[in-house]
Amino acid sequence: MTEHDNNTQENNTDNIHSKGVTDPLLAVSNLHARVQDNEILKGLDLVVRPGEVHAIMGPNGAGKSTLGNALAGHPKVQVTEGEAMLNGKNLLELSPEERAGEGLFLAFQYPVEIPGVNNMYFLRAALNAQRKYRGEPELDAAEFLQLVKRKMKDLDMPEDLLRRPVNEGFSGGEKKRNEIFQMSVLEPKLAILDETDSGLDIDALKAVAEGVSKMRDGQRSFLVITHYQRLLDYIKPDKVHVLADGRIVRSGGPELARELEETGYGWLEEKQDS
Amino acid sequence: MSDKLQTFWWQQAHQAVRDSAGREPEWLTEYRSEQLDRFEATGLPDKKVELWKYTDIHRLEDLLDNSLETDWELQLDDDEQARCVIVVSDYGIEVHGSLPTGVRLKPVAEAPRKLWKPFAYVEPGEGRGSRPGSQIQARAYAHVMVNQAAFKTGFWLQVAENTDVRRTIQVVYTQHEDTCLHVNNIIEMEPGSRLTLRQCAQPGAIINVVNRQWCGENACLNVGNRHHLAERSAFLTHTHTWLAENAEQHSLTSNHAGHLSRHQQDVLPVATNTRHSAGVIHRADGSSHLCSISQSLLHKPAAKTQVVMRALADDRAASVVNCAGVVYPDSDDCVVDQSLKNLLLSDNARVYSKPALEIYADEVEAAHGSTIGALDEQAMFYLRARGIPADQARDMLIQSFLSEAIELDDAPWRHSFSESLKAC
Ligand SMILES: Nc1ncnc2c1ncn2[C@@H]1O[C@H](COP(=O)(O)OP(=O)(O)OP(=O)(O)O)[C@@H](O)[C@H]1O
Ligand SMILES: [Mg+2]
Repeated sequence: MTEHDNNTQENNTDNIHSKGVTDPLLAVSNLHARVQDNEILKGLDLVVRPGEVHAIMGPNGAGKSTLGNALAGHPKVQVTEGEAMLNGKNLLELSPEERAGEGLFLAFQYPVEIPGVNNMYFLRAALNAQRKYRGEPELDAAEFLQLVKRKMKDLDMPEDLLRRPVNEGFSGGEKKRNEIFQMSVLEPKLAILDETDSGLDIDALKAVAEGVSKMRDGQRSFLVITHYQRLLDYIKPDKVHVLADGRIVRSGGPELARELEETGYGWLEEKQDS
Repeated sequence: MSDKLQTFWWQQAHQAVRDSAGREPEWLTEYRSEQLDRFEATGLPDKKVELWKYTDIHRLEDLLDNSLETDWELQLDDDEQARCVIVVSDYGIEVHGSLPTGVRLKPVAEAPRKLWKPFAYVEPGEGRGSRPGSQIQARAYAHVMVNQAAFKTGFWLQVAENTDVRRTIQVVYTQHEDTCLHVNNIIEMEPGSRLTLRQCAQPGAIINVVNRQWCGENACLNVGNRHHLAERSAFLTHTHTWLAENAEQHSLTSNHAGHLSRHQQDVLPVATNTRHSAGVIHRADGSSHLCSISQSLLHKPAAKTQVVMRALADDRAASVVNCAGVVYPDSDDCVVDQSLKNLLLSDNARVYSKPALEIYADEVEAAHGSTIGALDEQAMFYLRARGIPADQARDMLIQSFLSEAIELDDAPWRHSFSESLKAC
């Protein structure tokens, strides 16, 4: 925890270009991206260092999910300009599966249902594909089961969900918990949580927050996209950014989230007017 | 007759009629001869025949010169010894393992005449079952007519009253010398009996099977079909199922590849309260032609039928799924559910998918749907974003798509049936 506290302090200086302590895990600069014919991201900059939690807030349609999709390599999101580096590797040159292998994880705002494909089977395929990509030995069925059992206990995850087809018939909250469960098994370097808190009941929210907290080890970073202060009460962010109209328009510490909760985004228009 | 296939078939049938004389009951020789005449008069289906519009019967001509060397042979491992395997070929019928108690197996020619009910298409009196323009439509059944004239072998399988046969009986079709082997089977389920059958085919060229399935009162027949064919081979089946009161027939079929793989089942309740379900999986790839047709001709009240077909077409393949449900006047309280979904994976593949409902009765519950689409891009991204390579992700989504055909509402037989899709 000490390391984490240090990081927090260092980052509160709000100088993303500060040299020294650690190299960034994620460095996004001047990112422009289109979806179909619309430019959604319009020169976005963001730096996340190892161990940090960054929250991204902003009005509906601002481009938050598009940012997550652009980083994860969604085929519908075309990056037209700018850079995105993960751990010194150019993400934009990699396929989605290679990005995952490099340690990027996107918890989907709307997880997809895949009938007929068992959750466990899917997750083992995913983990082993990533391990193979990294040149690590694949886990056999027994090893995998052991790992999964441990993670299930950690997250208090109902066992029957895992025996069912991927997300099929899951409630909204169950789908979100399944995303976090996948994250905990895959152990990414950078996890982007896209509104994972939406639709969760209070207990599930706590379970998700605990899951994230348990995974914080001073190296792993989180990009938490959210509309609410709630989740940030449990997962204390090092930084909070406001994304509006395809750019980060304001950054600050945890207090910015509380401020937004009160003021909303009306001030954005005033800012644009002036 | 300039047509190569027609000539070939005519000669086969003609020979069979001659061979039959004196060796089979007289009425059977006559029946064969009648069917030959009918075949001669009707001719082969062309593209004007709806059921043959997208899969070409003339493809069979490409296989008439096949050498029949296959490296396939029946292998029984320890587990399978417990099972009963019936091998049907031009050498006749061989039984491996013992027949379960209560099951009798005889050559089809010994089956009593009453079980040889002619099919609706050849019975002018039963005109309601046939479609408009029936002379053209009858042509769709040329392969059935020729089979009925030319069949070389086949079994009459009888399950005794109230016998619940626990062991699965497996039927394998193969051929050694005849480039086109016609097989004619009759399955007779006596009242209250129960049987699960698995079928698969190893054609070296063409195998053409006609099945009559009789399900007596309260009987239940489950059939799992695994038709995974070599590229240059063809397998045709035509199954006619009669259901007595409270009788059930369920099937699950997996079709993959083949120069021509065509399977039709007509289900005909002859009393009330019958149940039928069919799950069909198609994997048409390479240059294969696959066709599955299910017709439910509901002449009696309170029949329930559910058909789910999931078909994918890739490369230069053609896939046809066709589902017809006719509910005749006074057949009230029937339930008909048809669901056809198709995955089109290549620009050069062709898909034809047609559900059809004709309802002339009251209080009928009916649903049907047909879709043709590509792989879901968002699902693809989801899998890849978890690290799964594109090819593997594609396979998983295809599995996901096809699996819907296995998950029918009639749950009790689902599990044992998934088993039947495994290796033959
Ligand atoms: N497939 C698409 N086709 C057309 N427009 C799209 C598509 N995907 C996203 N957009 C548009 O891009 C813009 C940004 O969408 P995005 O989902 O990134 O917003 P968001 O900030 O995540 O919003 P929310 O808070 O509602 O989740 C929106 O105007 C949206 O309509
Ligand atoms: Mg969003």
